[in-house]
Amino acid sequence: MGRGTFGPRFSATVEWEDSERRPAEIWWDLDEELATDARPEPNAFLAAVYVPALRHGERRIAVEGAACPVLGEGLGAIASIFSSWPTPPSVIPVIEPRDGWTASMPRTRPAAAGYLTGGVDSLHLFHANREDFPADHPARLSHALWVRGLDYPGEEESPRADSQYARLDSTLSEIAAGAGVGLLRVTTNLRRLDPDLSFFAHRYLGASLLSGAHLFARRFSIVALASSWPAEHLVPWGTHPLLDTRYGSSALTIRHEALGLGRVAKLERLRGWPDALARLVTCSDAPAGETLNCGRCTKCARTKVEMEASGTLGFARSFPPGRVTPETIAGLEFDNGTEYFWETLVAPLRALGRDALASAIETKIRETVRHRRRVEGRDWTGPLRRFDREVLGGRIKTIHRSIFR
Amino acid sequence: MRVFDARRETSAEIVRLSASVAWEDSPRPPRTIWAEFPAELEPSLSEELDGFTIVAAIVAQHHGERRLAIEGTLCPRLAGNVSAATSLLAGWFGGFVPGIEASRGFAARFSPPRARSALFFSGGIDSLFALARNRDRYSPAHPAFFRDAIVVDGYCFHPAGGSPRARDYWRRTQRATSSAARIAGLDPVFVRTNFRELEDDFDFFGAKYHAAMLAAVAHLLSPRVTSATISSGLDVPRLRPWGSHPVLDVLYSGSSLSIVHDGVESSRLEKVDRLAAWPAVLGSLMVCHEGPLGTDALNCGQCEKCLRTRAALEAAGASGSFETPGVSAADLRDLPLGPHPWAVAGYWAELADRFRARERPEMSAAAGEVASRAGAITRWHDGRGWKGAFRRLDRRFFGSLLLRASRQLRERT
Repeated sequence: MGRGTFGPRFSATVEWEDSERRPAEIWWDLDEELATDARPEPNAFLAAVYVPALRHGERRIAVEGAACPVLGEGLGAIASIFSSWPTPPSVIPVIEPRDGWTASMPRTRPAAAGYLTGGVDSLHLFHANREDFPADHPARLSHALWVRGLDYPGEEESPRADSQYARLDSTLSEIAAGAGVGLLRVTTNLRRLDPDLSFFAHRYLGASLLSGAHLFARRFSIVALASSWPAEHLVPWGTHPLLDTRYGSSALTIRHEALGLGRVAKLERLRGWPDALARLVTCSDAPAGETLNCGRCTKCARTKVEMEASGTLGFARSFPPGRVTPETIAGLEFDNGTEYFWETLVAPLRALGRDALASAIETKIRETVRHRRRVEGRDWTGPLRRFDREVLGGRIKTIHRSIFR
Repeated sequence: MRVFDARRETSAEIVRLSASVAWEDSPRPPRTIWAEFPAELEPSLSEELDGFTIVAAIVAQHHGERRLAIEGTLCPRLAGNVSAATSLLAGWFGGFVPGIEASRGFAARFSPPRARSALFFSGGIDSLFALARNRDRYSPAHPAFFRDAIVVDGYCFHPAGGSPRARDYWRRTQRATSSAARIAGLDPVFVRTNFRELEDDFDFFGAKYHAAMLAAVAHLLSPRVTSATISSGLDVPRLRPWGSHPVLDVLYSGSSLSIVHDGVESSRLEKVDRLAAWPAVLGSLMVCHEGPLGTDALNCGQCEKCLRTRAALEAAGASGSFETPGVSAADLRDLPLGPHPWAVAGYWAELADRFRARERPEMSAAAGEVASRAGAITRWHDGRGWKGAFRRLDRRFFGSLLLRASRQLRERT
């Protein structure tokens, strides 16, 4: 424990034994209020390093301290789950806690906090929780946890990151106040273990958000994370109902919430909280000086269409004004795998009479699927291209390029 | 579908909680669903419809009901979770997600002041393993320490006590679970239910329903129990859309009761390995669904599941409750594979590997042969490979004409 840039710092040194990666110091800086009850819990570090260790073929994780058997078994399950997903790990590390396995007691009176990003999923988490649970219920969220630093691997303490934190701070504070909860900041450099964005999104997202909660399990025995993919369309993703709960321990319960609802349904419920909709944050890196969301990127465009489909676009204040047009859609590139979210918008848009926009989305979905099939070699050209590559040494491709150059 | 009229009938020995179910879109007759508990548990039973909501929702989704209307209040967390569960099942198997309504609104439930954890207990490998690991992990002061063993009749066999085989199975289950509960310091809670009457199809029970039935029982006990654990029957490599699944089961949790799915990271052999170190409870092991056995034995010892378990115990160097301990390669020859060969191929392959590692080549070969037979049937069942593609083509375009012709030809020769 020491003093970090953003508050009391809980840190540890990570040394790689099998991977030729440089040692790294990983840390969490906590708000003073949160740090009061926190302690340098080995479970936090174990949960933080396990998935990167799995990716980089480490054969063991030696923890200097005692670890929770519930977490250990959960991490074992996560390794098995990753083994059944694309690009499985080659080795499953053995966990060796120096002081053995100990199941800690949870705090006597349960207390719950939720993760807040300002996006649709987390706004819905707080709104539904406030509506569903009275103030004295143990499941009622008393605080919002804002995890910072994950968008800036290697630059967590840089002026660029700091200005973005400052930009979001007032917005998230206002949202938290509107939800009747306190905002607690957790800043971390965990992505230094492996800054690769695809790895972060597809495997590490849940662990990087949730592992730090073990530090303050004396304060919160329950932490809730909003689902991003709904039950009807679960895909291998870094936050997932199979994974997230398994980062918990005998003293810390992790909840993956609202799995049954899609984004449009969540926005419909958020109609009852217009102040939050006015502050919605969906764009991770909008340029300074403009609205909180750029309004131009694919995520912004999709969120605006979702707001239109749910009848909440009128509440939007954190985007540049105006509706998304078919021309906007034509100019976008749908992120790989997000066609599902776009598909859910077609029927509601048609019901609103926005047929041209719905058609533009359908066209773009077809293009995206076609492009992916081609890239993955699953269209009719795939076998031909494989034959050319493997048998003819790519001669047909070379000839094709020379003709059409 | 409407769920209404929660009732409680008490006699000297039992308390029956029941509710009425009426269909709205499916032309099926109305039913009364119930669960019976020992009379001494009366103060520990719920007045709410939450438990009945779970089973009704899964059956409603299966039969395409457009809504599930609860005439009473409903826990908001349970409502959201059950909606997610039906959505997950729709994603796996198709169909629609019924909207959930509560006539008197949504009201969060409060847990009893002291946490109390329960285990659904059958006396088989999975639940004994969950029990063993619970005792490894927790001190009795920990809220996750199991105190109750909930044992449900009317679960595998429907109706409860409706046939000599079902009666024999329940008698053996009570004996096995009582003995293990006594050893482990658990309070057994024997429950009888007719939840399968809503839809008694066994495939539905397996693929969608069985964990929902258990979770429903736990909710009826929610004034007593704050956490109820369902032992995983599948490990991660064998996970598939199934009526008990680590994503599905936890969705039966409410605001005062957590449903836990335990043991998915451990294979059946790993579970047997752990149990080998607890011979006292292995003496109460009951895995066999055959019967009536007509003896005092807990298991027939000869069916596929018994032989698989005997082989696993032998590989782990343990003995269980079988009259004939151990197993030989000859026992495995021409072993009947039971109704679900697809479910057992992996277990036998794992056993073959284990015997190979133990330098028991004859047993390894015998287990491998069973695995390979089960695998061949599985591949045929799943329509994999060129033969599967051919059969699909035949089915789709020729109405299985070629399959019938081939069978006739084989019969003649």
